[in-house]
Amino acid sequence: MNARVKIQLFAMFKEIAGKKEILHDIQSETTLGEVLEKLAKTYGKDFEEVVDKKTGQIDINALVMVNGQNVRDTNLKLRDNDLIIITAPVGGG
Amino acid sequence: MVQKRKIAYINLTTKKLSQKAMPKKIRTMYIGGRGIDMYMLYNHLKPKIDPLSPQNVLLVGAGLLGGIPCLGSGRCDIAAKSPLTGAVGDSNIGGFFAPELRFTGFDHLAITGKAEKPVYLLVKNDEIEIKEASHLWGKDTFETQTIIRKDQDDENIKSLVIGVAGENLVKFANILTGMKNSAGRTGMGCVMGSKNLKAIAARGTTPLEFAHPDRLLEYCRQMNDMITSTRWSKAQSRWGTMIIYSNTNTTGLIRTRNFQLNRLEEGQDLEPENIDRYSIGTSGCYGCAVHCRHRYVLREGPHAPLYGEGPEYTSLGAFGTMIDCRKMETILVANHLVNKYGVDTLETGGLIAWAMELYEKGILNDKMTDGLKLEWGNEEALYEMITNIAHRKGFGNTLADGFKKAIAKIGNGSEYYAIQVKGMSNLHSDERPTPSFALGIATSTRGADHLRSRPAIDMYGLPEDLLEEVYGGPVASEYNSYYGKPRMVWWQERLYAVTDSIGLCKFQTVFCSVHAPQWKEFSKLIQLATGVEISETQLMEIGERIYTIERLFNLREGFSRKDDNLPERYFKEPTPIGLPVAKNKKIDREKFSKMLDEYYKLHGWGNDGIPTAGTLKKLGLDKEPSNLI
Repeated sequence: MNARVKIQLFAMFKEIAGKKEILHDIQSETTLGEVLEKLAKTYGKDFEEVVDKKTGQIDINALVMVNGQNVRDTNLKLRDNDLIIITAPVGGG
Repeated sequence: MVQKRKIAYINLTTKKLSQKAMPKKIRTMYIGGRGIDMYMLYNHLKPKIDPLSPQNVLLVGAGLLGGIPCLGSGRCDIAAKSPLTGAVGDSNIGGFFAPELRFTGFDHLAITGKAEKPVYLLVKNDEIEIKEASHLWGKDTFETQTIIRKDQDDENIKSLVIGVAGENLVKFANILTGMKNSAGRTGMGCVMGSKNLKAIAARGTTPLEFAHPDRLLEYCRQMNDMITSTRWSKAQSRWGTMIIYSNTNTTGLIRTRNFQLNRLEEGQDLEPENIDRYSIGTSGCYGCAVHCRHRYVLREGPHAPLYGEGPEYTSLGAFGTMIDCRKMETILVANHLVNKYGVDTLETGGLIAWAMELYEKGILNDKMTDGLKLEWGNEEALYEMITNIAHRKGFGNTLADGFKKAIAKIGNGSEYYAIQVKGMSNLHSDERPTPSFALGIATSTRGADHLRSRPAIDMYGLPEDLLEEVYGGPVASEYNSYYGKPRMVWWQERLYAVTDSIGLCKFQTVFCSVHAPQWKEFSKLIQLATGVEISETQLMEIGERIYTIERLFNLREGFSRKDDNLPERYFKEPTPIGLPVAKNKKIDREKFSKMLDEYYKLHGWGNDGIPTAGTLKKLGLDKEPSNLI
């Protein structure tokens, strides 16, 4: 049985995708970058911009969290039941 | 421009009015807005005065850049000794009042004394009148503004007003302008009420003079283009500050049921998109291209028809998560009530949530609450408590005095459950997983507060080399870490002190993004607007001076290191739920103490939190009070 991650979309990402939550099957070596690439192919420009094309890292104009921790490294290997949040970086209070 | 601006002195007891040109030295040392207010607060007040006595001074200060067409330049700073805390009282209000005040020729008002009967001030092109206001007494904040406009037959008058809470001397009464812009914190509306001052109305047609108007206009356009191109501003334009809720509640960073939980389960109705059911559009403050607040209408239900603006992210906490109310409509009704009566959202929600926990634990009972069942999620009890606080009715009278007095009155271990610092309620954020935020609420000069220092970008996990470039020293990227976090707080304190002094919106600075305007952009705006060169380094020093004179004020009033602390629960009770990064977290007491040491050292203060003689001399504070204005 494949492992699976849950993706939660907030702000414009939720509006563009038309849904708040996506369940996504992954393989044992699937990276965050690969999942984001699939989302970009499905949902277009705003999702493409989540990854900085120059550095290959998460762009600082997006907020991507895995299990509540911010990540920049798209090579991060995902694990079964990981929760990925994609949202706009709007500050805290 | 720097030399031509004026300050007005109004004594409501003697009815004496006078004015003075703002000395250039004060401008270059304290800039305007909050900076000059803090200089005057320290200089004008004798130590230990009663905040509700005629000796207290109510200071109204427009920012130096008030009226420029960018970055939300409508900010106005209002200060006095706080009746809630006894410390620095200070609150920054948006909207349109500050530019209107500047159009009259005045930048600052210093109001002392107490009127014999209710009055309001009318500031009109270089003239100030004390007007009779008996017909306004008892009116709510919205009615008061409407009546003043009608009385003066001028739709363009902008007013700072108090509601019935200010009249009733509720210790956290706010000052309001428009439908929702509020000087909410530290009870500045209570000080107005103590002076029998119902409103300050301004109307001016005097053009502002700028040193380099064409270049200033072009630079403002660049600033607006830059801000509106960002994802964070687009999110704020669409959903306001409520957008923060989805992420923080999912993660487990929101205090719930006062402080028992750190996430509201089944809280989907508070998701920001649900404002669409009620929204009729968004509006903004003067000089703002973001427009972060919704205008809403309730057309159905027991509270309809009801019109309001907001709510903010903090309202979702104050009237939602903290009291376990899970409906957007509850937030909208409560938001309307606090604005109508003129009480601070955060303090009101914080006190009611505390009372609900005391009720649950049996420290309060039906007899003490006049039969009101303060049970979690009881929205009718929420509305009634707001109303009773504003009118000082029944148990509302106890809460209307704020945490310090309410704790003394209720006793029986109630203090432990109060989420407050220096007598002021914290907002709804749970800082146990975020040491930088925790340090900020502990050290804030006005009590538990996020707008004095919050390094919100700590939540973004930014690369450490970028953080070091911004903050001038090493800072850990993880928000759970303690490493380098005092540096973040220190840096943001100075930035926000200057932001409040030039009169721009904090949300359009390095609050929301590391690339948002800060020292460099501020320096250029000041130069283009006034012709005065103030370097980035000098601006940082001005921020330090402002924060340090606030510190001196609090020390003089008896505050010390022991007051730069957190509620005991932060150290004892780990967060029970949330994602792994937020679950089972509490603040480590020893690490917190070390953060405090480092924070003091960065400021040039001793381990006791007292600025050293060298620091005072370096900042030009060694001869205060100097009484230049």
